[in-house]
Amino acid sequence: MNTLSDEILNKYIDNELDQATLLIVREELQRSEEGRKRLRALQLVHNNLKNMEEEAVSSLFTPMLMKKIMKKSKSKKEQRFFILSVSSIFVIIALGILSYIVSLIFAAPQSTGGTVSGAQEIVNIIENLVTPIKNLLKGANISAIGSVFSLGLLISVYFVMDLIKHKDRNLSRQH
Amino acid sequence: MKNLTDLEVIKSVKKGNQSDYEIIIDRYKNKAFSLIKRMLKNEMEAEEVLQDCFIKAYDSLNNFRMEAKFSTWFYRIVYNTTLTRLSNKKRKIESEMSSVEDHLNLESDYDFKSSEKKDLSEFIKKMIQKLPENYSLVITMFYMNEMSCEEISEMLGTSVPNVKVMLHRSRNALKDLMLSNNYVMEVL
Repeated sequence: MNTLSDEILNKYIDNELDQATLLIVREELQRSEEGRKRLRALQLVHNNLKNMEEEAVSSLFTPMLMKKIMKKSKSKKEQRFFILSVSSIFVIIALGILSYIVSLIFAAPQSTGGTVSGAQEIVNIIENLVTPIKNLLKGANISAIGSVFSLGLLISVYFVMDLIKHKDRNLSRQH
Repeated sequence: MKNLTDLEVIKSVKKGNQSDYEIIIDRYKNKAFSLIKRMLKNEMEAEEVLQDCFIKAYDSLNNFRMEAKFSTWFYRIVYNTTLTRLSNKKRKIESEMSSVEDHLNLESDYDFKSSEKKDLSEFIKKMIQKLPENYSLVITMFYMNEMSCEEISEMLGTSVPNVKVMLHRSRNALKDLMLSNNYVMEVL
């Protein structure tokens, strides 16, 4: 084995030699001027690499990037707020409709006296449920429901467009 | 604030102090930039990719396990994002990363001018650019990004001995060049 091979000298610099080999290498280095020269050169390379200066980005890099990040996180917050508001409105409307139906059911005239068969009772319940819905879909109510659906449609279109816009932006950034 | 560890800064960012992310950016921007520039060989593009990397890291901070080392996690994002950029440009790095059996023949295509010999560090910097891409990457990761051979091997998807071989060969190539140009005699 060449005691002063490049491999050994590299391991010597990296402190990767075992004690026995280390002693042999040190002895060999004392004897060989050529070996010392190669080691010095290798150490010089190692030290220069260790102290190598980093490549520097432009001075505006950090503020510009922070501005981007802040803007992005702000728009995320706004989006979350928007979704929350829209869903709250939907929940309120749904609750309103539900309470309206329930109130109509309770306000509907109850069957009078006598014993009612089980089947008749089911028919009554279904009638009580269907009649308010029928009433709800009549006249001015239908326009209110139409408005709610239009609003829902508009919101869905907004999100779809937003999604397409994001996809386009990601694609253009990749290319 | 600047003396905080990476993990402390990240904890603070996660708590909602977004402006603290600036500390992380300042800490890693130049090191990561060096790595990206080495891979892309284009300064403008490197800065653009670096921005993407920081934004990606910020968006994924919730996925970062606090017991891991932030630098390794971040450099992995940097390396993968740059590789994606490279593959998008059909300049696959794999073609140059195939084997550690590559021959390092740097002398043939380097023109030594007396002015360049004045500054050894400048000379070494120039020579690193002439190394095959995987060798210069290993040198950059090891010396500039202060990554261990294990971390580099994990990132490059190669074995630790392979990384060491690449590291040694790069140093040897640089050393041989210095010797053949009497650099050592002049400097020492």
